[in-house]
Amino acid sequence: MTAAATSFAITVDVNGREHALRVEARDTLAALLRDHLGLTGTKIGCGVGECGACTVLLDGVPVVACLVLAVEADGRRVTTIEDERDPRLEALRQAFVAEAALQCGFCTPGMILAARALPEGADDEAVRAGLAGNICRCTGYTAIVRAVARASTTRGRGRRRG
Amino acid sequence: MADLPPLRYARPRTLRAALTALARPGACVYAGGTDLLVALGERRRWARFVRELVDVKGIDEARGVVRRDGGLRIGALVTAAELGVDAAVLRHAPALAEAARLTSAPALRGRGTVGGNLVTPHPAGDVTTALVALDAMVEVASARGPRLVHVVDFLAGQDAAWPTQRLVLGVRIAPRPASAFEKVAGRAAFGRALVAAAVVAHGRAVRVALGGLGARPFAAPRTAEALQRGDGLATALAAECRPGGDGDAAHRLALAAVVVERARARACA
Repeated sequence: MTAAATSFAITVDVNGREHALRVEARDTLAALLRDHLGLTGTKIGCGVGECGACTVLLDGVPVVACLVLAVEADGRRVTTIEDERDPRLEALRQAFVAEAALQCGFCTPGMILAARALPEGADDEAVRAGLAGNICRCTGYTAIVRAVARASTTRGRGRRRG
Repeated sequence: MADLPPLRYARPRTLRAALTALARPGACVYAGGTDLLVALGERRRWARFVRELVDVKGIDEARGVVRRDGGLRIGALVTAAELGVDAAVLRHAPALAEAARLTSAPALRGRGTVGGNLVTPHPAGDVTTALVALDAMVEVASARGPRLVHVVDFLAGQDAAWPTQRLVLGVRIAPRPASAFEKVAGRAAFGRALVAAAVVAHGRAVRVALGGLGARPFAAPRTAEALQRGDGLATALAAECRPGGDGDAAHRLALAAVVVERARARACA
């Protein structure tokens, strides 16, 4: 990777599974997840970093996958909405359903990953600030904020394998 | 977004290797990518020369915030997220920390860098606006060692010289605890500032920088004088600003007076 090239062999940990694959220099992390690995839970809305639909965690830090190169994920850990191991993600998924915090659902994976990056027990103001980069055109956000609050109180209970 | 154009990518580990890579035709500095990848995807004119991304995130010389010569040296790779919570920046240059915290959205603040904000041709980079008010010196890498360029000269050169493949290593600022940043944007997140102002008070001097009111953020000495006199602010702003772009000019000028006064009130509190 120190020498310039147009494609690279990389290894990346996605949701706890190690993948070895070859990516083009111009592939985005969103393309890696959706096209190379078939993980289509990560949605591409605007493609220019303004809607937050493609938010995933890279080494635990939220990024918009449309503005990260696939090659940058080499040797790193990516968490997407498909991650079934993480109880906090599961609590968020269940809370979004319980609070009816989605209608069309397109923004939901990005919302949930952005919420997952918040510290536990974040108050409503911190939740709103943390989700400021995620657009929802259906719900008006109130139920989403409520769902994130609910998830922080229901963590670890009623876990369901999806 | 359209797919990115065909590209080469390299991630040099040393400054010397990065400079060698950047000397190649079509090579461009790549750090946070929050503007560059959008510009490439949209085939914007300023990015059309790019054939190779030289990822500089492995360059040690461009990292971290350190005390130096009584002031701060901030590495070009420091992200907006890091800048906004850095204890030394909060204490010695609150305007800069505030600008960083108001930049864009969380997932982008973790990627976008100080160096990127300086080189991207935006009219209202928040961090850049604060750096102009803070009289920052920009460290530009060269084979003979870093050159120090005043931020205003750097921005003037950037407009004319893009694409230049210039590699910013960091910025240096003097401590200015009496400083504040304010902006008005259409939307809290992302919202490129409609109007932004940074005000720095030091001794009897007041320095003002404005964003969103010209091609790039700029220093506004007449506005600063009017603020100190307590008279003639609207006239000074009208003389110094070129409020083109979206939104109407009169509205932006009116907003400018509001944000400048707000920033002054906090900087001089």
